[in-house]
Amino acid sequence: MKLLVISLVISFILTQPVFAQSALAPSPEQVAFFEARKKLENSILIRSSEIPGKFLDDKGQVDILQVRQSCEYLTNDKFKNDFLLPLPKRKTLLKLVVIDICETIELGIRAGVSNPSDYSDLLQTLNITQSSFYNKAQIDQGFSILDILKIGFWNEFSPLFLKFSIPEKLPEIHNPPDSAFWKNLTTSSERKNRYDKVAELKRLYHLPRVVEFNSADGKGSSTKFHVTDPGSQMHWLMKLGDEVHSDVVVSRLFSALGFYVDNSYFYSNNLILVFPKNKDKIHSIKDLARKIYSQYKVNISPFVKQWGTVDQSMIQENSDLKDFLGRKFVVFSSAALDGRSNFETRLGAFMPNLESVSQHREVRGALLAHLWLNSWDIKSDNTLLAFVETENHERKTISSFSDMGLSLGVTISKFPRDMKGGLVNHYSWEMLEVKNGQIVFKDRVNAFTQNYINTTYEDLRWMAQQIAQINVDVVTFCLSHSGWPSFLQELYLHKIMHRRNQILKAFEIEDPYTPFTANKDLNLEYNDRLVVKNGVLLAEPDLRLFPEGLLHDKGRFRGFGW
Amino acid sequence: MVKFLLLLSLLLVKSFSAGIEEQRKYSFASVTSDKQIETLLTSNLDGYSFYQHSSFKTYDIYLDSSDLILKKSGYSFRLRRVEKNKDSYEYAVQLKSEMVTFGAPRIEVEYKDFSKQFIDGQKLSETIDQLIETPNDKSLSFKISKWIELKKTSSLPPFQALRERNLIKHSFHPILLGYSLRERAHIYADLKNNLDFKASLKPSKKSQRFLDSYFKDNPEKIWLMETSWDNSIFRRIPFKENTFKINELEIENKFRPRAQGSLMLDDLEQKLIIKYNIKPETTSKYFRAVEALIHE
Repeated sequence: MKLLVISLVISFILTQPVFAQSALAPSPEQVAFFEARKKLENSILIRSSEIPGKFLDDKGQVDILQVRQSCEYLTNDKFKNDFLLPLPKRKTLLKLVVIDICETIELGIRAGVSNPSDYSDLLQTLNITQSSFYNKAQIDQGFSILDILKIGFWNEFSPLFLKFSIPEKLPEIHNPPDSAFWKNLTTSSERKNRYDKVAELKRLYHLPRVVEFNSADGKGSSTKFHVTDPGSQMHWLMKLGDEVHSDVVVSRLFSALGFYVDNSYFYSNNLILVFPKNKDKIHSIKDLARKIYSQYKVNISPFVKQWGTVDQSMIQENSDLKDFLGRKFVVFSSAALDGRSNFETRLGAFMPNLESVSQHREVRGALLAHLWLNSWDIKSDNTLLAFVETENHERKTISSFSDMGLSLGVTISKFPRDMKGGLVNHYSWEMLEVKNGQIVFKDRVNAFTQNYINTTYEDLRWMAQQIAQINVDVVTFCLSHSGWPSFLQELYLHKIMHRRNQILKAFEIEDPYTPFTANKDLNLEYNDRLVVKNGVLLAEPDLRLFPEGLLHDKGRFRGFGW
Repeated sequence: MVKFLLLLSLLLVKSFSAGIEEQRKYSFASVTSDKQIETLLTSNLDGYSFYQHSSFKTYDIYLDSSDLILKKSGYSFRLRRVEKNKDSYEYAVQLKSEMVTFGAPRIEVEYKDFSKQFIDGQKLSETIDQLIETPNDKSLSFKISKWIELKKTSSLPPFQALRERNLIKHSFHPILLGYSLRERAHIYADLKNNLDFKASLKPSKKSQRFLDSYFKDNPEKIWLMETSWDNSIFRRIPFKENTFKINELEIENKFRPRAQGSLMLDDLEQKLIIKYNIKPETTSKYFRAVEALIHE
């Protein structure tokens, strides 16, 4: 009886709030775990409600050994190969980010945080990072025959997949939260400035006027080489050819929609490429031309505006050349610089084929943005997972769309094999039709990654709402950076806005701005001659200024006709 | 054998390029006063300008096995606490290799984010603070050893390095506590005022990312080296009566390409030998402290 009374008294005392509270109060380790996780949520982590199966043990708990294995794979340079596949160099920022994630997980487990859902974002980010790292290794090996066949397949059959049934009742769509893929923008000013804001995040503050040649890239289909800004030591990728205009415009428009993109800038006659004295075998434009021809079968001579040796008068005119007296140089009539910030660690794709990525609405909805701008090359390899170290030494994950030059009018030829973008006459006025209760898109794409296979009408409608926010002012601004002649910019403006209007109509979205009436019969003159008639470009503007050709369809694999 | 293995490991770990430092150590053949050091760290020596920029205290808890396997293998392994500002500490766990030959690059791998490091419910940084205050408290040493055990399979760079060198199977515990008062200075070439240097010096290829803010703000000053003067005292853990004092000058090559920086370091070294009678050293403070205090 006495024992019963004592135990009842003790039970009563222990259930009093003060004791209950202390029993539930988190330990310092648990507090540290949740703080560390929150800090990562605001910067690095890719949101996900799912946990990759490989990180769970038989009991459904986090398997710390698997976590450590992934961590080692991503941070230890002694693992040079994955079977026969050489792995890329693990840069410091990648290691720091991965260690940060893994140490946070370890802290949580030791602190007794046992609910696996508390680790979902951490584990999923680790998983995506590992997949992307492996993907980079695959990309570095170049294209296989299978890759080419896949591209051919999707180019042929993608129209069959670009049909979406209109539901009876229009769904209410809400914006997803900001993520590593997308940010909600609210004003036109924000949309115009976003591109430069992201460039600043990567510390690309300064557009160089002089760059120094490092190496020819050799990858992909377009002519490019690695260069360095001698002032800031920042790295850039210099591109020639058809994409130098379209990539800039589409990147800016994607950025205006809230997506992350690579930062590309057009240059015309105002970028001096200097060659190293003794490095490599490339000392002059002749060496470079030979190298480019051997790799890309492109004769870059028509792209050369000026070449020679840097002398004192050049240095007096341009002080950025002060350290390059006596060096060979070249100026191209038409080129682009794509930022490769020293503070950005680039992996492979942001893995749109993974369920954890394709569950993001913004990643699925991007399909409509691609279609709007006739962006053909939407394969997984043209997405990018990167980590950036900002000026405040904060780390951020950026999942970008990249290499969007095959857009705004694309021709694909099988025989002879060729492709080209930025052809305004191939950027059709009509991008879709509504028939039989479906929205049917007319353009083709070269891939259908999992995220696009999963795209629903609701996703597209969400994207359509974003496109509705892009007004004529934003489009004009983006086009102004293209380097295209003014009349071509105007023609593109009408086409882009016309396609925008079609989207709004098809998805029954009210235009928040005064409607822009596109003129499909546009006539434009330039230097007293008719250059655009009934909405069609009539002649090459000037092959000296635009050697890639803005009218003819000879593209990358036919040396742009040269 | 040890030197051979160290040389081999240097070749194998070339990929640790971010963790390789070219550093030279010197002692002073004759007694040095504080005034003399102050003069050195603020001087201009035939074009090599010194700019003293900071002074701070460091505490180092050196770890090794009972049979000193790390010392014998040519490494020092330590937990470091740096006090740059009052009441503000930075922590790191570091593994460093001994210099095989004078001036040869040494490997240093470290990890500095202690925000997630706990042991037995307490922050590791607090345990370190307590051990510094009460080095005779065996329970604190035991805690440190326990943390080391926990991290042996982690991806923290010093533990990866220990695994790669087959040293991880040993049990490590605190054996020495070192305290240093460190005065640091940049050594640079001032192109504005020094025509000789201006004519001969090519711009450094050092990445902007790793450039100290002093040189970003003063682009006419080219960062050549970094120097530190350490006034150090070592004691065993747990404390015994004897202590070991070391005064040492370290100079690290900061110029790129490294080879050109090494030539300038050679040049400065000669000038310092003539003026200050310095003597090159190859062994680390840890090595000398262990020799003096544990192998006595």
